[in-house]
Amino acid sequence: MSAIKISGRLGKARIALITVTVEEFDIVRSAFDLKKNLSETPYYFSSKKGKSFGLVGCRAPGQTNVISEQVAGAFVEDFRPDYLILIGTAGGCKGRNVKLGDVVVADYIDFSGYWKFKKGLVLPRKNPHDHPSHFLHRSHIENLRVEPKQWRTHVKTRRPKKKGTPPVLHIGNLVSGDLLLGDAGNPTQKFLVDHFDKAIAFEMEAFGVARAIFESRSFVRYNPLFLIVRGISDFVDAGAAKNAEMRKEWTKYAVSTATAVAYELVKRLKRSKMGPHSGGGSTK
Amino acid sequence: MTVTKHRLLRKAAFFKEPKPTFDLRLGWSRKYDGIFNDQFEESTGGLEIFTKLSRNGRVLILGPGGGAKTVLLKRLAKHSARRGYIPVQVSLKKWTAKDYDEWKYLANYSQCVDFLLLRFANVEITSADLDSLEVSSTKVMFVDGLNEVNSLVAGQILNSLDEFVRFSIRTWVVVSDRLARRELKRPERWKFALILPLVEREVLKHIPKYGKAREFWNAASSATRTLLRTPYFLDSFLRHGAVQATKAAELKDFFERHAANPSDLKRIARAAFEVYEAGTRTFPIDKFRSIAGTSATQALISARVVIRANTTAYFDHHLKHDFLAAMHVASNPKLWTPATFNRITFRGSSFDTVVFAMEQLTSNQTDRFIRSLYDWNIYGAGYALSDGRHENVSLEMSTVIHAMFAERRWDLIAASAKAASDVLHQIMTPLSKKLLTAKALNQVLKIIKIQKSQIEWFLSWQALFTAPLDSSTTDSDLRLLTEIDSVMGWTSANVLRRKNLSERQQKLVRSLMRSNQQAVIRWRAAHVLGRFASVANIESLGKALADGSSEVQYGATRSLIELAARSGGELARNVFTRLAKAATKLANQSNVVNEFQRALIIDRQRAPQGWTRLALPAVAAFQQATAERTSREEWDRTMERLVSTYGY
Repeated sequence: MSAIKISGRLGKARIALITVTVEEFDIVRSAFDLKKNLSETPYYFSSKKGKSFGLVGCRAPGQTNVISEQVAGAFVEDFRPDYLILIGTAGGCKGRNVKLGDVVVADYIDFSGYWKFKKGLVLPRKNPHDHPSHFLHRSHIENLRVEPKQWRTHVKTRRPKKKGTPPVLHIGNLVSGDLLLGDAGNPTQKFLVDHFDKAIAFEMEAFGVARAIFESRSFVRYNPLFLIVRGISDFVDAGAAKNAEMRKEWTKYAVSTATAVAYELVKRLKRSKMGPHSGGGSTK
Repeated sequence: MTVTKHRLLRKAAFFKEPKPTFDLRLGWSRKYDGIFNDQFEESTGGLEIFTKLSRNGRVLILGPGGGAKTVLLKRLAKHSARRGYIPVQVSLKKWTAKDYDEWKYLANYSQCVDFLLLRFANVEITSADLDSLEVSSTKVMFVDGLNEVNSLVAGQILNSLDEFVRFSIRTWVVVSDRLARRELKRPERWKFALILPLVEREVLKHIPKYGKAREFWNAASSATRTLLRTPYFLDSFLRHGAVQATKAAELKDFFERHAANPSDLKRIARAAFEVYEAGTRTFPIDKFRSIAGTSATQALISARVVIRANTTAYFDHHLKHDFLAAMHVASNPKLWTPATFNRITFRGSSFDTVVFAMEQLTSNQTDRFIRSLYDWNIYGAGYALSDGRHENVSLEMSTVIHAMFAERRWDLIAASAKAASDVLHQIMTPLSKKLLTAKALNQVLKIIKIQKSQIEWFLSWQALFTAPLDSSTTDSDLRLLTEIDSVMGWTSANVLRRKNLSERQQKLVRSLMRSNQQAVIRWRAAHVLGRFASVANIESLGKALADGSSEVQYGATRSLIELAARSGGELARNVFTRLAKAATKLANQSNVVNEFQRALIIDRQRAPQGWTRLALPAVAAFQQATAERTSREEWDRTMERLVSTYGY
């Protein structure tokens, strides 16, 4: 059986990169050499052959899962990427062994924006969505966690504070909601951090991407794999003033460490012949 | 080749183009605005849509009734088959009342698309069947007649198709619709095309056998030329060699020639009106027959004007049905009520009937008709004046309608402002053009002030409408709010919003909203209060959300959002907290929910800081209180629009 190449409306991209803020996008564009703009679209790429792109990147025009779902959905429709990686920052949980500048690659995504208030109780409700690719975790991320030197060499930004240990890659649960968690004293924020007691990172876009990927699985021969790679720029269990200060100081570095992990991953994916559409056999 | 693919290709190939064949052209735009303002990015031949489809995947073809939308879609389906694409043709013409009932229970886009395919496609097929065709095949769904269903369902159909093509491999969709602005989930992913009126050369090419074409054309009135540039009416002219002054006269002539003597025609018209009760183009043939009479019904069936399918039937072109229903309404002024207008327009979805009724009235009836329409839906009145029909209405009445739309261009709620501009563009009179150039409301007042008339009621209205902005209000100004005459009453409500009202006067308005016997007065009062931000007004409007009248609830919802937008900060938080608390009770009231979702999108320049975050608690509360999946998704869309318009 030969491999089936499924293209989108604008072409075929092997790997899609999504970021959210301008700062994130600038660092990612520079790291991946995404200099060329595809005319009249928000997409940037480094090279292409006809309508075939190796790597395409774009920035979501704003925070929240609603927007990231739109952007990821549009990416799927336009390029049918094999891999989709969301790169950016997240709030970490200080009390859960995560440091500023560390990288969290999510293995499980919880959505924190759907609850039912009933007779004094707050009951969680669920919307179906995908989770990050087990294949990518098993084949690449675990190895990058064990051998961090492989990606640390790609970190291009200086650490804000000289003292401290090098960045570490964590694999763990991530919570995605539509609230910017900037005040540890806020009761809602406290509730969310306590409720998701195993989560090590909190952000606002992963669920949107996971939802779009889930919806895109309408065809048996299209199997996109995705990952969420987040550098820790602040702590959700730190006070409001401290949080803003931290974020200002650490964001650039956190984006850089997350980008470094993504960069090493992309390098491996480009080399690798294994993947969701490698075809070439059966499991008989 | 699979059997399904073969059948789809064969069905499209069998389409026999009606003769003569007209050369149709399309004007293209990336936005609805370009279509409504006649500002096209390019114009192309009718078949040149495939480049757009390959890039966008979604094309919406708009056109007036009789503009050849159905013929063009069939032509495109045939052409797609020739290019190797697989065309699936879906016609909504046979949508029935039962379909509305069942549609409500569909849980997601996939079920909606399957419903459309299984009920209305030319081949029995599902979305899974389409997906199972080989990957290299491009599938094109042609959905004809979105205007055959009500506005709510039309919007849901478009958004279901949007989702469907978003995730289906190599799948495109082409939809035909009347000239209407729909709420699209992802407007940037659609391409819009308007079927342009036939060019003069094309008309002249077809008419020489009726004498010297150029001389005929030069002698024709502008109304006749407009008619002949519409494919349906040019075709009719070519068949019968005569052309009437209006679309309605043309259709009356058709029925007199084909199917009926004058007394039969009256009965047929009544039957056509009665069977619109169900809100669909299809109807039970027995009911129609019992009113129209056996022989008249049989004559229509024999002439293939009415197409019978077992116990139901439908007209071969909806314009014929619309004309007949309008004929009955035009000749019965007692029927000029909101209930009738809702019936014949499918609740404001299709205004062809209103237009036909307008064309059949004598000049001394039109003003009254326009007033009745105005009482029901200002857009109905606007469309009744478009395409030159304003000439049948008194200058005074026409000016009133123009002025009302011109004022709305500055409405805080973006959709209202946009719709008002659309109507003024469609009316296209010297006055509407002038009003469209106004840069501020003050200029509108100046333009209206210089309109000359000797008619007493108009002079009173003119004085009221052009009252200076931010001037003080007298108690007699306030009393006009309770005026029985709707033009004066509503103008007063609009004018009060531009003036200063003391706290005592606002209290009077609150008391009107609370206790006046007439719902329309309570509605007007709610409308006025939306201009004056205060805790007392917020409380009062909050209570009006529980009013027994849906119009008052609608007005209160809209005014509450306006108050939040005007004040921002603490008062806005107060509004949204109040709405959030009422969410459980209100979440299933479609009029409140629809207006809430629509009104949240306000003019970006005037939005207070942090508008999205202010609104978020109420949006979330309504979403939490909504059980139905599709309605929950509407709230997602609202959130999406808020974030993309105002940031987070």
